[in-house]
Amino acid sequence: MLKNIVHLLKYEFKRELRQAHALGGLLLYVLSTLFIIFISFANVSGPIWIILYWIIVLFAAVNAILRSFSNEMGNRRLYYFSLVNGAELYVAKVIYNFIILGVLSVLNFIAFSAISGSPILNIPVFLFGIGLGSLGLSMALTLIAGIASQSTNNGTMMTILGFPVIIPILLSLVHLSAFTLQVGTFSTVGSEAYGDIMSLIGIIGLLFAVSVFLFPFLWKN
Amino acid sequence: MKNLKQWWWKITGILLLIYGFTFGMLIPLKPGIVTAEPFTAVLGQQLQLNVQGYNTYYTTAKDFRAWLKLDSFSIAASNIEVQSDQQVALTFNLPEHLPSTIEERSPNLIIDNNVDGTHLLPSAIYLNDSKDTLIAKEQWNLNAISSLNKKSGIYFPYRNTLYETIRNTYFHVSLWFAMMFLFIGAFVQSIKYLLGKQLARDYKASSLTSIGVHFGILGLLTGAVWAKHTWGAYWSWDIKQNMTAISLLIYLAYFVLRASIPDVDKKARLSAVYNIFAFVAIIPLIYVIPRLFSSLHPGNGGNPAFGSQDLDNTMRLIFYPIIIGWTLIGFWIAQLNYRIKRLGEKLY
Repeated sequence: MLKNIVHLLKYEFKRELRQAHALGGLLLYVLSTLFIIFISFANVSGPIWIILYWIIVLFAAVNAILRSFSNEMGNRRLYYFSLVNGAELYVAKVIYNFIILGVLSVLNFIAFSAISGSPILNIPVFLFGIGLGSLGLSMALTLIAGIASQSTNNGTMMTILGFPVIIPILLSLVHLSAFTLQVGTFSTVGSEAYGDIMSLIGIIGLLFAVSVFLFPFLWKN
Repeated sequence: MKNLKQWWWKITGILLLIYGFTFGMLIPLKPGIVTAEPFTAVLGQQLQLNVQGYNTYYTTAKDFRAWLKLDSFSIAASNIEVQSDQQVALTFNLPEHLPSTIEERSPNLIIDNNVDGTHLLPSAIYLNDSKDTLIAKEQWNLNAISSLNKKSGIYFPYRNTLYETIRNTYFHVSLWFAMMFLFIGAFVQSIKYLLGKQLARDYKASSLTSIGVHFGILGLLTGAVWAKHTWGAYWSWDIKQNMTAISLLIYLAYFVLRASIPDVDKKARLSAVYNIFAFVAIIPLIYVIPRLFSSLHPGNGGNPAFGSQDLDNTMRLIFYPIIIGWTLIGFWIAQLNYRIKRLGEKLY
């Protein structure tokens, strides 16, 4: 089980580095969006900054995760199916997407702060939020990408199916991030945002449990 | 007799709905106080309070009494002049000071008589301080209100701002309950489809989801009408309104997904997976997220639908049966829908 997951992860990264243009494209997407935002809004206030930040991350996540299964269609899917079971593949994809999305979110944070200044005063809590957010988004969207990849017109399907489902995660993230606009240690701000953190963890746990149960059915034809 | 065995739940559903609609609409509200004017008064002066009652019979009432009550302190009306069934003028000689140790400045107005029983207006008036023209030497009395009358008969509670719209509880709230039961049914059918791969399960799941979405839209509309009368606008971007709209979007996406897949088995498999996922995804939307934000909707912080004091025992007598009624009718419509679908696919 674990061996298979590690193996799949290694393979994913190897393939990603071979086709570096895809990752480069995502980075370019984030940078150009930030640039448009900087031109449109001269000054961005704290709450607006947070909402814009998460919307950029959301679109980057949809674009990044949409490609998850593009390589596993047709004959290759049959080959995968003979090697690993659905749950292993799902966990490997989630971990891979989590890492990509986490790196992308942190880069987005750095770039956004560099371009239009950062209102975030409590960076550790915000980074913790990024970690939870990347995990939640990659879990929900990986399953949706699995559904979308098997339907026709999968780019549109991904947004139609995915957006409503991730709204609770996104709302909790925006609500949690609002606490990082104030000065304070990790523990004081963390305890104020306790409700948000717990609800995020709850949502993530729920989505993970149901996805691990559902993915094998999605995978098996 | 054979038919009765098949139909008993449909007949029960119809009877419960007829019962709910009839009594939910016909049972009158308890007497209440709509307004008491003026809205402010000066301590130490004489106050004439013009009270507008609702469903009251002041002219036939005997043993008429009225109090202004602050915490457990009260002051009785010195003169009561009944003008009509719904109007009465009360005269109070207000004390010079607030009762000791009480900061609250908005006393409740309590009226009691033998016909209407006890009814009250919370925070009826705001008391200002004054240092001149002291005509009254009255004092606040501690725990002086006693031997109150009780209105007998079956009535719904009277609530300010809600008034007669309190009846919408039976239609708005019960539709949401029925919707949740239909979605649970669809969720169970989807799981059964994934485990057994019988196409009939898929048709059942999609029929139940479809009727559930229709009930949800009705719930949203009845809620919007209610919101117009109590919050002032059909749609005020309240967190609970938004979350329910989003949960309906999630289920509407289910039908888009179904429409986009031509292959029957693949459609059944993917939509069953999505249905289960959607059901789990709306749990945080309805039960977790609204607790993080403030809302106009009743039941903040606890049960998402209403607080524990929003239902009284008379309302429960209508409310629970009508939930069961809507649920049974919903399952009946879903069953008809399912049979039409199967006939259309010639599966029989």
